[in-house]
Amino acid sequence: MDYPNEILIILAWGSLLKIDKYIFLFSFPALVYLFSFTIYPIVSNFILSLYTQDVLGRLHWTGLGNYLWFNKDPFLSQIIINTLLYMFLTPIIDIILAIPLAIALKRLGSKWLFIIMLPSFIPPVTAAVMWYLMLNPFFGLAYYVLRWNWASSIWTVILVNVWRTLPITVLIIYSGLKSISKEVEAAASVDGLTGPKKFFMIDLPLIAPQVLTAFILMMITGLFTFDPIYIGTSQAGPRVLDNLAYYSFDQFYSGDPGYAAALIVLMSILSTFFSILYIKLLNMKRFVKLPVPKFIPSKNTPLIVHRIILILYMIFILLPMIWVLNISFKTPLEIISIPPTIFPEKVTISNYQMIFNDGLSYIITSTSIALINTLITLLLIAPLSYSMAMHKFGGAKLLIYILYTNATPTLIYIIPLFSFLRYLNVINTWWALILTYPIMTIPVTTWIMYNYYVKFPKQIEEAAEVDGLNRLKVFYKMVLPLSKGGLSVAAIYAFLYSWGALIFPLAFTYSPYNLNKPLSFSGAQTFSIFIGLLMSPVTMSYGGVAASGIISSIPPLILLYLGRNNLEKIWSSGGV
Amino acid sequence: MKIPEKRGLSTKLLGTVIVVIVIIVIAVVITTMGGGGTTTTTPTSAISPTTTPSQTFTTSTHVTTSPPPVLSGSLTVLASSGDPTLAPFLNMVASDFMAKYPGVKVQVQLVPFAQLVTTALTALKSQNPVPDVIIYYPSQAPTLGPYLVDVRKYLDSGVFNKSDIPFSTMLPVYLLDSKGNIVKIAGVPMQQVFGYVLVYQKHIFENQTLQAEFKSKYGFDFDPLKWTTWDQLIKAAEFIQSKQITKYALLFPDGLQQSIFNGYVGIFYSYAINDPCTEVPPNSVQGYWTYFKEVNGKVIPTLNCTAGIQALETYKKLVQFQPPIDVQAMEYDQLRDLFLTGDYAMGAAWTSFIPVYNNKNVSKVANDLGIAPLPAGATGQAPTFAGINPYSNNVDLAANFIAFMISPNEYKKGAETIGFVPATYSGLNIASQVPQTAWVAPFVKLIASQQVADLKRMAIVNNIQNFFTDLKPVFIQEVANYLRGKQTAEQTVNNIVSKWITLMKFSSS
Repeated sequence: MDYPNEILIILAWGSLLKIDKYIFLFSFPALVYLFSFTIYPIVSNFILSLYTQDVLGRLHWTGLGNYLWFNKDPFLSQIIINTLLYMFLTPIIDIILAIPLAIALKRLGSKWLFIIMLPSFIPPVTAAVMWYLMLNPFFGLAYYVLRWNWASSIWTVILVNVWRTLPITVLIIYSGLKSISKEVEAAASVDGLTGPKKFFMIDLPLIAPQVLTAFILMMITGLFTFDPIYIGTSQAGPRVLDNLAYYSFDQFYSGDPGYAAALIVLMSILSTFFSILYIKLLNMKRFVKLPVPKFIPSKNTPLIVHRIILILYMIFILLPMIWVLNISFKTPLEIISIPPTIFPEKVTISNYQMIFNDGLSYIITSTSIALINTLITLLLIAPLSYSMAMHKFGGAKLLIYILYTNATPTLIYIIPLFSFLRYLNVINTWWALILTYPIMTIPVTTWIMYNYYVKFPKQIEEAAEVDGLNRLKVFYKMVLPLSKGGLSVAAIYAFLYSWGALIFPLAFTYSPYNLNKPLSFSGAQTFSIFIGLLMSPVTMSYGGVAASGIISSIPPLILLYLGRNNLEKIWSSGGV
Repeated sequence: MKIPEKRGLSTKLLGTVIVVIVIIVIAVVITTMGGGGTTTTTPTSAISPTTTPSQTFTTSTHVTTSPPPVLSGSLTVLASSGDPTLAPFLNMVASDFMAKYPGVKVQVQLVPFAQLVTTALTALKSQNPVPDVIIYYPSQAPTLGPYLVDVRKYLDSGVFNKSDIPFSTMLPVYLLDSKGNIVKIAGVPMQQVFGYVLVYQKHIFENQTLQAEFKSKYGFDFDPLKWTTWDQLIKAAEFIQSKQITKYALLFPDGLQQSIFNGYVGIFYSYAINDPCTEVPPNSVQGYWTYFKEVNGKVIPTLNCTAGIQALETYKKLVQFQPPIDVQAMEYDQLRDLFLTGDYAMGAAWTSFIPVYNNKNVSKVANDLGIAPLPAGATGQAPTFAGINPYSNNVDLAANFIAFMISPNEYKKGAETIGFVPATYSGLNIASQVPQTAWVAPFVKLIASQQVADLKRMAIVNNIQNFFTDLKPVFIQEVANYLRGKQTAEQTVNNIVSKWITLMKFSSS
């Protein structure tokens, strides 16, 4: 067959490296992007950690000085403890709460899943603001419950984390429960095992991979806790809530980038360690039978119990959103009235009018960039994840590298990438974001599709090859059309990450989209920046922030609605 | 073209190739950083005469004479949003500048306050020519200052009128070496913000019955503009609280991120100038420099002088009239939001809040606002600065824009139409005659009185590399414990001093 020269060169490289040429071809674009955009910043960050900056902005070699300061830093031990607390308590609480809800959903039906999923599709800063508005002891619902400084506690940070991550945990565990085969269910029934006893003896060991997957994914989310800390620090005090992610950010912008870089190296080591542990645990395909106490009953839990559990979860999930929706329809004077009104006395839509009048160009930019990046991400990761899952391309090492990049803060990329974008003369244009956003979305979507393709029936591929199709055609004509379910979920996550992105737009843009010259694509400030503009310390617009929070939730929720049926399939049986 | 047969490299060779690639990347990175202790390209080198980019305007050494010089080029001015007078003022100045010089295009770009440093620092570190002018705050000066143009040449040449800029207002942008020599002045002030000042509900203090009763009981006037000691402020608050005129008498900053740190420094200063232990001279500019002195070549904190203990005790008395910090710590947001509710008779606030307090759409104290300096000279300055990007294609044009911005004409227009508070002597005098901004009058005298600054001593705190990242959090945590009643004032200052001595990390410069 005749191929263009460029393709032949790629194929030749694949041959040189003893890799199937088509698999290499599939993976090449994503790998080139990933390595070119990540290796330099990662290495650069490590080098920076060996320097210290003086008050005049000059860097001085300090060797391991920043790492030695770990020993003297009066806050680091507490910060590491906080980091571990966020990393472990978030998934542990998630799993403990998710299991009864997942069981309830299995009994009552999955039609409630869409509502339960809502918090996971709300941008992190919006979620943090929702909770802190509700917990404000003067203007919030907490006025009527307990007038205490909720924002000063790490438990509030964990609460916000759990609120956001619980839905995904429920989904993963529910998917696992749903995928238990009918034969196993029937056999358990014949043995007289039902209810909680069956769950502990049969179901839980079978869904151990899903539990582990949920644990690791939520652990990584916990590692990167940022927005609740950012908002809560003014009440808690300095360093009380900090984790490594926030501390490194603060150090970087307080004029100590070398120490910030060292902290990021420490954070990356932690996350890599747990990523490797996860891979090893998933490889241990052992059916673990747990000892079950005799008092655990072997009869079905009454439906009313499941309904009560569902109602309680609904309250937990919907209450902050309802409160913020409430605020978005209040006048500024009513928002700061003490005691706070439960329902608006005078309903106003002025907050929403302000958003659409002043924020339209930001909304257009965010929506467009998110959609474009979603498309680019899918084009890159679909073939890569197929190669990794179906043909073991890159092995565990590539998987770990991808998980590692998922766990590195975007902070380390902005200076190296800015120079590159400036060279291309695309600063403050849509192109700057289009070129850089995949760094954020490729790792997590590769992971999602990897999990999807691991379960993909190999027989389809084998049958197509027997029919004479080469790997290229097998993928594009057979595998890809059948991957719509997985791709729709990957698309949701890619959109979500792109929609809520903040660091890259802050670094690479400085004006909103010029609606007078739409085809220039100049001006690329996003809706997340617009929300930040409303959160000024001098003129904080609570109503505007609430309204923009509601609006910022709509596009991801639309995608969630469209892809809801595929969400459970992606997690239905995880594993390498 | 024929596909080559499958032949491959050995794993060992492949591994070697990867290692070589990584080494090359490391070398590139180190070269970019200028490794081995040599300095990176710094803004100071960028502004030396041999490296200054070519300018569209070259008469920077001349004071404007008629006819006005022909200017051309474009400028981007980066500022943070939120201050209700800043953006309108910048837009007004931009419009007037473009009208005066039709060949010039000026664009004002706003970013969120909390993220200005991200946007500006990324551009400066990457040597991007845009933005040309950066509007920033004193807290951002240590981070951005090293990368901005040294404006001394414009001060010396008369582009900026040096005599019209208060010395005390400029200090946050002085970059000093370890000996106190000025290495750079990283900007000029363009907006004055006083903080903290005492804001109060005027109708309470204009009530003649209360005035008479108070005077009779305490022997001094029930007038915040006349108070000179903390004791007078505290007694007035006790009086108001006892009569339950408002729900709370006084709102005072005790927020745990920054406000404790900002609130305490003014109180400490007011005692320090009368405490020989601190060696803080009267008529000096207040600031964090007062926390340190040098004795026999060694830097020691001054917080455990008597002034430090007295200041803490007064601080505790000032915050007793509001909910405790375990219910609500009074940080920036709370100082802004809670005073609006009308529940507080008095409050300590930044003057940037005044337009918000006077906005009847959000405030219950609108048009009833009184403003006075804090007693005992505790009110400080937190001006907004304008700095120039050394990589701008129009550095001199940027300087001329700033000079235009801080000219008396623009300030007069800003004060009259927007309520903008100028930063220069002439501007403040003009503003004190404009009804909207007449409240600045007592503060002008305050600025004029603060003239003394021991730059060598000021360099101490500048050169403590971890002053804000480590020492400030220690301070806030210890003072918070004191306010919670967990320790005495003496224990607090001693804890702070002993921890600071252990932690202080001095810059290599």
